[in-house]
Amino acid sequence: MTPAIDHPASFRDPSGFVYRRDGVLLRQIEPVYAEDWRALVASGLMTRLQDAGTLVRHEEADLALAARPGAVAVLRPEVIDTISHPFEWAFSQLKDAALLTLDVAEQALGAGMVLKDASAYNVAFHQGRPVFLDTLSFERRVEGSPWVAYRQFCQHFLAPLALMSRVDIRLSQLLRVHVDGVPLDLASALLPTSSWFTPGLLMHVHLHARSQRKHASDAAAPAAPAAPTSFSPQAFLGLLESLRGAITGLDWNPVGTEWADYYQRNNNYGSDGLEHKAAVLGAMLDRVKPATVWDLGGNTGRFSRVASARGARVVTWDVDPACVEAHWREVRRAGETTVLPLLLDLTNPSSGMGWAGEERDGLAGRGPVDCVMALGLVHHLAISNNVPLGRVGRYLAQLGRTVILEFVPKEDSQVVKLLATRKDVFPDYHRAGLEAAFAPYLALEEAVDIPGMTRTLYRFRAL
Amino acid sequence: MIQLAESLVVAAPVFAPKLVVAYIDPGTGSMLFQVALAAILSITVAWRQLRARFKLFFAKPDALPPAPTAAAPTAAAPVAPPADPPATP
Repeated sequence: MTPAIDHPASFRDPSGFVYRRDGVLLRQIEPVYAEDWRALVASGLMTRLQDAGTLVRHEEADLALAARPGAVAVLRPEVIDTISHPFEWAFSQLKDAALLTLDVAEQALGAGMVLKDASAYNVAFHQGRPVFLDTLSFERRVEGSPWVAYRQFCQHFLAPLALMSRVDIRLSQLLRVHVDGVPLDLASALLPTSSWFTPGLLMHVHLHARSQRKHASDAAAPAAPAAPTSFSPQAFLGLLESLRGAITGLDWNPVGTEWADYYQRNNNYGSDGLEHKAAVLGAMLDRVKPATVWDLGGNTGRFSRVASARGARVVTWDVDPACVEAHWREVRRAGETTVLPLLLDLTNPSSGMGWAGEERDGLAGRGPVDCVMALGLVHHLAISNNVPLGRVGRYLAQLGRTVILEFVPKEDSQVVKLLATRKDVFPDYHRAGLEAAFAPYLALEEAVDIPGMTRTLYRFRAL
Repeated sequence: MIQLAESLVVAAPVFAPKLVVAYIDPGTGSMLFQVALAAILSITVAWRQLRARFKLFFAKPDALPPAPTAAAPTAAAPVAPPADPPATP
């Protein structure tokens, strides 16, 4: 048995921790959590949440697999394909995760327990739906106590959703800076005056922020004599219902962005171009048979489905919040379980975050996957962003064991458009230049011209 | 209206919340603010339940929902866990 390796993000809650042993993900429950663990099981709450698909499933593992002595139990949770971060989610994904968290909190209340934290990082998207990850987030409720996770819920969910809905969708990226959610005083300052007339935002963002500011130095206040009925279960339920109303009242519709209706507007592919490209891609995927695929710059996932139709589990990454939003709505509507849309600016990809920069994995830290697809993307990286082709190849080789890349030559109308207003400083941007630049990192397996187009589909193997 | 609402925040410390030892910082202002809202939140839930009962009372028998709506937990009686969900197919 190899030594246990602690998960870099699992250290805050003394109830237990996550680690890997022999490559298997395990969760140890510590003695301090023993009574809450027994209550969680005895109340039936855990089973109900798991049966509903709300809480990640687990098996009890042998105590001999514990990382340290004294374990109350060792759990082997179901493996989640891709751990995603809240700033990588579309508006509706963050909203769905918020509503899931409130559902979990309400069911916990009904079982005499309380959800003791409400971090968006406790939610993952798995098989087409949000799922709550932290089995140890429940404790027996102390009568009269308000919700200890209220502040965290507002910072992780309500404040960013309000900013995305009422100010600008791109403000989701504040979650990349603020790992514990958007501070409420910041959200209150950024939201428009009209938000003061929305009861949910007035109460849970603006006035909540003022209360935080007013009591910022009252560290001793919670230790004051308790009022036994200071916060009844009825009030707790009212709080959760009020938060649910505030969340459901927020909306954002994906319209008018550059990429959301790309395939409809773009005539470069012609009527058959997309079909030809899908056929060539499908043939390449049939030879590789990847189990996991990342479709970089995947728009609304048209070509992701060429891979998912062959049994691959696909993440479609795109820079446009409107594409990711439209794509997630479609995945949710169709009940798809093998495609996950996520937001990513490949020119500034998610990096390691949190304590020591290692609590939350960056993009490369979550790879490599079996196959990376970069279709209609290389010209944006090499020409729009001046990234040398060699660096493109080196990074793609880090992300996937196989790379399928569509080369878009200078004659292509899309590249002509990119070069129309700037100097052509890309003398090596051609097929031979690409092959030479990629050679140190990627072995060329095949190159197929897409019928009826000027473009070529390449398949490489990472070295 | 805003001033009236803000006065609730100021009035919050009248009832200090019960001591809770949380592993995350719940924020003193966040805890006190919930206590300030407690009465409003309770009334909202009570009103919703009362309205639901009225609707049930006056509803025609064939318009009744198949199952009774879940009652909110009360401070006096611990809440029994809801019935097990139907088995998944």
